[in-house]
Amino acid sequence: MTRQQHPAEVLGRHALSRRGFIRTAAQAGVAMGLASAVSACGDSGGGSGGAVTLQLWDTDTRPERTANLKKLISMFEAKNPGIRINYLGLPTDQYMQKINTAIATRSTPDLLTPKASDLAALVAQNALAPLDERLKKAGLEQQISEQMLKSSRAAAPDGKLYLTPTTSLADVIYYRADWFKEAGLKAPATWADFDAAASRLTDASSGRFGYTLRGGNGFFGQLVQMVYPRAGVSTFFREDGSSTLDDPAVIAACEKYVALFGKQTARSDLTADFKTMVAQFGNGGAAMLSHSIGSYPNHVAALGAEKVGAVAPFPGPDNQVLTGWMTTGFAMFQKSEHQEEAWKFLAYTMEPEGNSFWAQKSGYLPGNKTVAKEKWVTENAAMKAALDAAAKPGVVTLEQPYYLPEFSSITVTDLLPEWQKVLQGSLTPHDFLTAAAAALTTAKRKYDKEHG
Amino acid sequence: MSSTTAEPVRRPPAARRPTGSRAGHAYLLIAPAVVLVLVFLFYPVLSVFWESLRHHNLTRPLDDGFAGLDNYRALLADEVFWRSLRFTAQWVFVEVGLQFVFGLALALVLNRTFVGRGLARALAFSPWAVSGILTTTIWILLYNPTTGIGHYLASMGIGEYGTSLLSEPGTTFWALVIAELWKGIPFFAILILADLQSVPLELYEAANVDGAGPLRRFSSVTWPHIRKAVVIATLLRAVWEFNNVDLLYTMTAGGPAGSTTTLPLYVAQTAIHDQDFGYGSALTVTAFLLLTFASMVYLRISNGDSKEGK
Amino acid sequence: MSLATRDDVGQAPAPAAPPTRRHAARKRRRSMGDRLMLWLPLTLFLLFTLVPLYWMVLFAFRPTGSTALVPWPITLENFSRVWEGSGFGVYFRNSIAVAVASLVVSTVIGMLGGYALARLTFPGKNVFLVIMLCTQFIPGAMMLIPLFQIFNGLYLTNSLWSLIIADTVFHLPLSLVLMAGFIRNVPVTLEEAAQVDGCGRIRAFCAVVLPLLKPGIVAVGSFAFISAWNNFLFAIMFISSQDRFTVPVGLSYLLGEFGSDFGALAAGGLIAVAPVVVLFAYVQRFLVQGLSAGAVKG
Repeated sequence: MTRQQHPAEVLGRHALSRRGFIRTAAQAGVAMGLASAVSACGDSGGGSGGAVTLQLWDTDTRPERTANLKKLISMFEAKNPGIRINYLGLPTDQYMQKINTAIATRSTPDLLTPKASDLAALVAQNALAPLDERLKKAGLEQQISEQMLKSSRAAAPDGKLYLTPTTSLADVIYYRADWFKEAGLKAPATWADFDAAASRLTDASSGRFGYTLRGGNGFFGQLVQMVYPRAGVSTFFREDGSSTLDDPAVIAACEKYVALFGKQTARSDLTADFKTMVAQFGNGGAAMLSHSIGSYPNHVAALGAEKVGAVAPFPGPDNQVLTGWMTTGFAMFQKSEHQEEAWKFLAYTMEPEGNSFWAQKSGYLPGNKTVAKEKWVTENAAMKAALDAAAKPGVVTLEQPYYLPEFSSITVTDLLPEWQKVLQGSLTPHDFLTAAAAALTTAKRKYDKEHG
Repeated sequence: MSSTTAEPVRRPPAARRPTGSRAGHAYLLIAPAVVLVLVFLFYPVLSVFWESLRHHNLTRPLDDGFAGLDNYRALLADEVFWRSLRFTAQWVFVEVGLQFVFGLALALVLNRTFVGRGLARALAFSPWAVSGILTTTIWILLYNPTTGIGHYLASMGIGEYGTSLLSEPGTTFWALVIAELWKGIPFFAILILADLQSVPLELYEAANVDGAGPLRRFSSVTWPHIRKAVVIATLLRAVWEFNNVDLLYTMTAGGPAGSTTTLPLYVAQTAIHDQDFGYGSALTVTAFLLLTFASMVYLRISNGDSKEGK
Repeated sequence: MSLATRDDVGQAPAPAAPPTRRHAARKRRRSMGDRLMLWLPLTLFLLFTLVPLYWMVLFAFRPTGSTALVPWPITLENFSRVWEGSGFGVYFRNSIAVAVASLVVSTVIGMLGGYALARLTFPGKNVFLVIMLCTQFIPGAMMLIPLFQIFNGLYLTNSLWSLIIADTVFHLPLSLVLMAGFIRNVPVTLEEAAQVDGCGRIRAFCAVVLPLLKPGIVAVGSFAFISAWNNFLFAIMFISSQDRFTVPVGLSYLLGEFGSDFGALAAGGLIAVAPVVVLFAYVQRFLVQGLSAGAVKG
């Protein structure tokens, strides 16, 4: 790649005459193109000395995470001298498009970090390799949290394990600890506390709001997080396969959530996606924000650890419902030519050494039960909040039906305009949820029919 | 270009032609362009047409198969399609119209001689160089009630905290238009500025001698000269604005309540997010046909209203 | 609209004379109204342009979490985070290679085809133009799989050439059509005169048309450069190794569902914009009136 500096030197050296400029530019362009083509040929040979090289595509490219992942890879490589892993980072909004193109053109890599919500599409295309057998043979099944194993399997349409239960996210509500203190408020522990704090900390005349509500792209996760625990409803579908979105308790909780909009939140939250919300919270525009434990480092970077508090969504009328416990891990492609080596890496991310490093650095809940007992786990405020909630008696985890092929298109694309109508006041939460429930029920029944 | 597309091939008088012009030369000159397009675009375009006749949803491989005109029938009954079509027309018309008007004005200003012209030109053109992903983020931060201009205005007592042009009823559209204008005006300005350079100066002199005012000079000398380039540039720009998805998707995701969803944004949601290629392709082909029709009409009209071409 | 005219009409330089600053040579003084017509719109435009750019500067130079309106105290932490942390240096070099090569290829092909369109008549001209236009009607995002297959078949995936070619192909119609327009605006009589003097068509073109085409080359070239510089989708789709990604990909890394580093993004954005602005500040001097009285009478 060093040859590529060449054209810049060419440009710099000559005092540019007018006609000379074009000629120089032409030479520079050709030289650069050639240089890169040459280096492209040079690299693709790869894999020196009989070592196997695996390609890993990562779907979350925050620079700190990238650095941690590269460290994890080098730790793995040190233990497995015959295996090398090439990292490739793909941006959040485009990675599925890249992966779909790769599947269609048979140019998939070996390893991937899919989200649970991507599994339906990937498994439908027969792209990923099932891992159940290998997990059992490696004796890892007993080492992994049952809850996370179950959740990982539940995300696939056929109930098999494709995504390693390496780590898990969990929903939390972030709050400005310093503002709470100033106002003499304790950390919120009930929904009543939350409502009171949201009102108390709203001062529209100085541009401070009690909460920032996700009205735009990706709203559904926050809606579930703020509504289901409050309603105390712990499943997405009833026994008969109908959606619980139209449950009276869910509707009532949703009405309270919607009531925050425009009063305890900025009116501009109507189109707010995560970027907008995080800009507001990080710059002193909002006192509380719902998201997952994954964004904790980001808030700390913006505000400082002492100003960021975290609590799990509060208990409902008679139980504590956990939301957002979504496994995040690694998967390998069916078409990988190095299945054994790829599995070795997947296993490494679940074994104590790799799991401990990766979970701690990512700020995610570790899947390995031994690692979960390590001291650092409770040092991260967001993680501690999630674990404290999970330790309560009678706690239930709400699983979102990622296995439904239509789940993503219904909740992301189809419902967004309707949701914004609710916030604008032209559609009632009742009508919105009834229609949404009907769409999900149809999808679920279709799925049940196809899968017996 | 405008005259050549719509006009029947009419040989110009021999005297106007450089000697020795043969069709063979012309084919040689356009060969690189033709080869590139044939090799790299012929098959992809064809495949979009083919996909539009199939059921092809990546999340439902069991339903794959030939669909005939099913996708097109579904499209005619699709309310979102019709609504997005109306909005697309509004978006393209307003956006390109304003880009052109302001771009022209900017070019005329920057064509004058004044101290600091080089710097002013470089600055005025700089938004064109800002990448799409950054443009949208800058404007999101600018419109954000906490990090944006609104916050500072509100602290001076202008406007209200917690509001944003992006999400107030009635202003969303204009907020998007402004953000896109920021990047689009420089395009027209550079183009027109370059074109202005070939206006023969003595035409202005002659106009001055005739005592023509500024407006007359513009309409009788400048405009006829740059007209052709403007016609084609507005057309291409309109096509680009038509297909511009990133800005709308990132800033409003087509909202609030679907009010800023263009047809291509709907395609992106259908084919790229929801992974329904069949229906997405049918929408794309429909857009293709509409654009072809609209371009032909546009070229016919803009060619007809003045025949001083070559 | 007096802006359309130049103050120094009649003071035009000799043909091919280097563009010089001529404020000094101005004959008559500008009237108040005339000056207002210059500075008022100019100020408004620059304000509109600069406020968003200033926001980028603000986020780039102030510490994360600060809400000051002036980036003071200045911090360079965002820049070092971007430059060192995300491999920006490599992306930068790749982007320059792709953009410069696209500029050259687009301009040359545009000039060849543009000349044919402007000066020659040939059967199929209209068909050619319509096809060129139609290539713009389908967004690249809908054709990624077949495009990938073609590049793969030519062993071009994962090479910067795939980006150079794809950017050029999608930009070709604009280059061609604009170039044709610019060439058409050079009076054909000049070329004929040179040919009468015994030059071949190619020499006549180089000697007479090319110098007058500079503004057009600057416009077409800068469009091609910038569209390649900023292309994001092709880079993501056709490249599968980290050290061959381009700047827009590097920028996109900073925005995600679990965190958005606006400071780093703004810093990266400034780094990405700076060379283009500097380059344009240099080449804009070719955007001056080239056609003077002498040239036309030729």
